[in-house]
Amino acid sequence: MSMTEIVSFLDLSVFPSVALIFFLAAFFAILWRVLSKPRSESEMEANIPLNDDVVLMPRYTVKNEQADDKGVSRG
Amino acid sequence: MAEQAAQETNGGATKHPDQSGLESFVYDDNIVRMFSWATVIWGIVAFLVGVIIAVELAFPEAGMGISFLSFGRLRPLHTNAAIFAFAGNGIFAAIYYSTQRLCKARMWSDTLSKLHFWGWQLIIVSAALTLPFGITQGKEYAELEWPIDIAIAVVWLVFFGGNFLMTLIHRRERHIYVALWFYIATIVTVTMLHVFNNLWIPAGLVYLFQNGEMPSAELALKSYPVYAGVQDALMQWWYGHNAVAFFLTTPFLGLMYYFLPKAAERPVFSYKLSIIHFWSLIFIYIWAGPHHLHYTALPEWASTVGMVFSVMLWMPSWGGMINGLMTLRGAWDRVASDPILKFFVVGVTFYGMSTFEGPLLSVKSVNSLSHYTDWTIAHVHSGVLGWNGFMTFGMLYWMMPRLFQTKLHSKKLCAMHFWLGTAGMVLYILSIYAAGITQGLMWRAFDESGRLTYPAFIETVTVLIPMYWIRVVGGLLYLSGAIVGLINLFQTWRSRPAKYEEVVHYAPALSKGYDNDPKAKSRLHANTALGDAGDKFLQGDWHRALERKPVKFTIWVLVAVAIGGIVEAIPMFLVSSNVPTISTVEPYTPLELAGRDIYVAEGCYNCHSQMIRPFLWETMRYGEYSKPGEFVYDHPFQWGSRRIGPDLAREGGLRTHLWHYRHFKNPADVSESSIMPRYTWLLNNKINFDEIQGRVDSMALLGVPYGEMLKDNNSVENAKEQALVIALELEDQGGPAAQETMDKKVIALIAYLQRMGTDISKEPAPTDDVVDAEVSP
Repeated sequence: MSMTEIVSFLDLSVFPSVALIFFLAAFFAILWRVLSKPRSESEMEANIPLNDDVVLMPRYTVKNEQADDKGVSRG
Repeated sequence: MAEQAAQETNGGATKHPDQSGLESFVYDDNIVRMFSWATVIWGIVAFLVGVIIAVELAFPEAGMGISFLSFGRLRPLHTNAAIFAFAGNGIFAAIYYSTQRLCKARMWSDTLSKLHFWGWQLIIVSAALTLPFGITQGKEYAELEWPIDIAIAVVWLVFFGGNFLMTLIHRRERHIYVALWFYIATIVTVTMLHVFNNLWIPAGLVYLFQNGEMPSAELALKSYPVYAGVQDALMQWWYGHNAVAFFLTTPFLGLMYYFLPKAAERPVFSYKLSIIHFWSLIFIYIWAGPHHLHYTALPEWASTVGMVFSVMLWMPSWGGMINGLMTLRGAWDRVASDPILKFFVVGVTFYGMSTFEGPLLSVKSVNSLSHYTDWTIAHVHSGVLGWNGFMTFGMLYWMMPRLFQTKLHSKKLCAMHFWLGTAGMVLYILSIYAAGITQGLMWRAFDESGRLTYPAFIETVTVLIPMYWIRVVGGLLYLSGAIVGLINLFQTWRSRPAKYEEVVHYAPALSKGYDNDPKAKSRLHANTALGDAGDKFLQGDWHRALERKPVKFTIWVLVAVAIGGIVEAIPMFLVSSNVPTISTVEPYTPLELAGRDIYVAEGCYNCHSQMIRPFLWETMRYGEYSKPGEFVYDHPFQWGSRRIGPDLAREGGLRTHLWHYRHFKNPADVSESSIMPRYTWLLNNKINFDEIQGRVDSMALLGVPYGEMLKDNNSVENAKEQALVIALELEDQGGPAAQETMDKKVIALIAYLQRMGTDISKEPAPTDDVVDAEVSP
């Protein structure tokens, strides 16, 4: 039996309903995960963009020996 | 040397000598600067071309009868420039800036970053050099021909996607922030869409392999999609809709989740909501494409799937919008004084408006009014100008002074840009909404006697001209705002320091193994392994793991977006009942095929549809509604998406050759007040008959039954004979001498137009049974 024949047996009118069930299953799984996520964890993750430019050490520039061979030019 | 090479592909990271376990790294901001400038410059080009074609609709003579300035050729240039050059470079700038910082890592390879930048600019230039010359695949937003398609695949997936994924793998921040999820979805899905919608056969290569020579550069660049008719339409709008979703939405949502908190100096309102937003959006979006084909020859089940998912899409979209706007909680006072926040607020608001309107337009009853009208154009522009444009400008104003290590030259100019852009958008969108709804209502209006109130299509065109002029003013304002922006950013750049400082950052490398901290522990006292595993699952360990494993995350994103495409496409391609065959539908003759290729090259689909919907007001105006089986030889389909001019599906035989000839020479000669441009070059340019065999052979490879036409250059002879017949008929009707026209492109195009929609009314050829019955006593 070919793939064409198998698919031809399907009632295509149920596809919207099947698609909806797919989505709802995935949606509720994600919702469960989100609701069970500790608040502290969420807050820490939400702050990542605000902490991304934090320099843990003193600023080094191209004038310093650490980056003197970077060849930075005016862009 | 080896050390240098190692650094090149590891973000230039080095161990800091003083801090055990810390690695130092410098962000590559030069690539962000390059993409930022490209965004501004290409944006102005896109807006300028938009204004030019807006003027051409209000004042057709603006095209001056020049082929490469005609609306049909310039409109694809405008859309491609706005989407892939302006928005594309904008998202690359955003991704390169934010990814490095969110990953605490330099881009994995500077070389790949540069190849990406220059490769993408080369693609844009190639588009600018091909589209105005009619080198196009004839599918909206996928017009670029096959060599450029290949370049896009390489640049996008290998240079950009590869570099991005490797940066994620080498990151120093354990959690992958939600903005990066949206970037992953963008890269994965755009690759999938681009590849599957651009499966074609290059006609020039077919000819080259068969004959050992290439008759022309035009044929060398020509390709035909492997799909035809209904299937091509489904693939195209699966692509077209999701290009909006995954090129103009998901990367901009990533941009929003990163740059809006930065500009507002506070974290996103709800990180939990962003997770629901992400998964719901990417899962639902991919199903929605068929809503672009309501009431067409697409099967009803596919159309309904598209509508259901489009309406569902409203929820995650508004979840995202609310999350964006609420991020400004406690900072609304700053919006009044900070033009950058103004850009973001209006941008996110337009996202909300567009994503309300999109589901609305997908409802079949609304779509019956809006489809093919300017309403869709207004919807698209509220999204691109408002959402994409303003988010991009907000980002650039926030980011570029930081990249130039200086302050923004003028806050006043920035505010001026904002207000010019906002006023321009309001004028543009309101006038075109009015135009679209006016068109839709006029097309379907019946008088008391049951006849069409406006039977002449031109009446529904001329009434729109004042609104088209308002659009021109709106577009000019938006363009002016962008020019003010360019000046402001240029002046900002001029005040940069003599040498940029490169800030060296430090962060510990992530441990080699997976760190699942805090690890879920079973809360059950039962000693069954299954129960323990289930409890851990419910605690969300599985998703935390995904949030920290880029490759697995990418695979699951691919699964989420692939489901929709597979469920819609497989039945469409495998179930023959979706496209019932019609015995009288035959392949185009070689000359008609050449004429069809001219139709595609001139971009006629930008103004004319070839799809009569099963509505009384359409069948009364245009004739019998279109059937799926009529398009089985249409590579590519040419249903179009708007009607600046009338539908052409049943154009064949309606008018004389002479009418068409005069129409191409000067449309106003046969249709007073027509806004169609003159196509005088078609009257002078010659058909390249040598190419025709290559075109027919390529079609045959796609399954079109050309039979004898494939032998001994028969196609060329057949095309010449048919051209002579049409030229003689044209002469008889009072046109120029046949000797003058028989080898001109206009003859091939007339051949195609006269064939359109006629097969369905032919008498079926008698079958053997019928013949037997007739001869039997």
